[in-house]
Amino acid sequence: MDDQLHLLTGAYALNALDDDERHRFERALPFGHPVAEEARELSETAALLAAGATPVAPPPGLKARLMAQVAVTPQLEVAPQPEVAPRLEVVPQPEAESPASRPAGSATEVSREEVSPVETAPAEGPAGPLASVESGRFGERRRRAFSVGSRWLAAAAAVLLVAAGGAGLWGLRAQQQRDDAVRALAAAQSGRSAVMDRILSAPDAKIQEVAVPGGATMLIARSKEAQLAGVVTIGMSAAPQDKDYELWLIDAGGTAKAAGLVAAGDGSTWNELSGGIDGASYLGVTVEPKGGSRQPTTKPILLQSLA
Amino acid sequence: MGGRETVVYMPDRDAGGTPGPDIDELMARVARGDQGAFGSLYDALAPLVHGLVLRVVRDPAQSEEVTQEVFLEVWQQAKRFDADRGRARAWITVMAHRRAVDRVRAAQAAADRDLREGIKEFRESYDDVEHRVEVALESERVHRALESLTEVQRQAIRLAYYGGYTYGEVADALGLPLGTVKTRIRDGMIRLRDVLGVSHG
Repeated sequence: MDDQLHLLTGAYALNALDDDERHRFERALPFGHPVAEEARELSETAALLAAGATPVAPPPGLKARLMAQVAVTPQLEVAPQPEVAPRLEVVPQPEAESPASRPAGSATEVSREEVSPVETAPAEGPAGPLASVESGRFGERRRRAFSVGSRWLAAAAAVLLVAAGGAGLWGLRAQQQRDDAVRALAAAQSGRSAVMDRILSAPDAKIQEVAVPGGATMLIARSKEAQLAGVVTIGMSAAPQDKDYELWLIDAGGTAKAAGLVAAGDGSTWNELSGGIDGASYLGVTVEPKGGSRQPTTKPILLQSLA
Repeated sequence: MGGRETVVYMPDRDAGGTPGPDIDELMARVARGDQGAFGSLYDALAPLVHGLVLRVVRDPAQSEEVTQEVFLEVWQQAKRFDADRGRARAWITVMAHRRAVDRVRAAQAAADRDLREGIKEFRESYDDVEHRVEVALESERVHRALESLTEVQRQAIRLAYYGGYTYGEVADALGLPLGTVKTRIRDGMIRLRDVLGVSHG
């Protein structure tokens, strides 16, 4: 294949190689090889072809669903700096690159298998072969041939999403997240991502995007069928000193049932409404003395119809 | 492709000085965990991404899933994306194309679709689209660049990129030897690279 290798750069850039051939192509090219350079340039050229398709606005509900997902999905951290790693006494991974560069069969890979029942879209697809490509020389070239291995990265991301989200481990370093991923998986079943995932995969899932006075956004996600509901806030300023924001489920007659204090959050918060909205007609938010009240004591800062 | 009702303007032109959000700037904010910036990035790129995905995947419901996957991945991977000026949009587009192709091939394996039938249909839908008045400058530029190719180069690249077919399938469809298609695709892509002015990074 080596004699013919350079002829495949165009097909490679267009994603027109089958999986086997793609892997062979990637493995055969050392970093900086002129053919690799050509493949990169042609990949960038291919990216421009996207503009040749007629732009189409996605259905309006998609953005609300994504914003809800994003609010409960941690971002993958940047990989540790390579020059630091050799100085550490104990390095659990063979390479100090990104999780993507870990070989198949490592802890991350195992946990991906375990997490597969959770319906997290990016986890699908065979990640193994790509992982092995990523673990080789091609890992170095990843930044340049930017699309390669995205499936494997997504699979790893899905593990971290469920694990870190479920245990509430926001902001932890990627390495710790990886180490904790397996242990946290069990806990994730009852965690925020798991609940949101179950809501989103219910056939009657509904998400309302509500503007909160002061510029914040609230997303109310619910499924009657799954009897699940949750509230995400994005960009909500902290409650005044010695106060809490309290959530209320209010029925058509005006009777309010306490639904929890808005959790303290870094940019976004998540509250599950246990048992779903349970026939309530409105969701309300009031400012209450620290620790909350049994009944609202102030006028709601937000009252949203759940129709 | 009947489900294509909404035609919108491309938000991120790099020619013509049309005001629009700076995609790289938005991407940098997304990498810092800024959900509002993610919303703006979505607004700016969703029509481009969804248009491409729909073109390749064709089924509206599946296309919506793929577009959702792509943007969720953008969010998750944002910190790892090396901010390299002018690249954020290419990065997202490449990811979108890859996912769309993955989806269409998975569907193909499941349904064992009739390739020739699929390509015939694809060509017809392409002609339909082609006759519309394109409003986006960049789209015009791409179409002009494609017009500068030979017929075989153009057909092969269109089928591979917009149809999501492997070059082997393209060879079958066009009734040409594998080696010929391989080289025509490469020659065509090199020509496009030069016409579209993709510079050395």
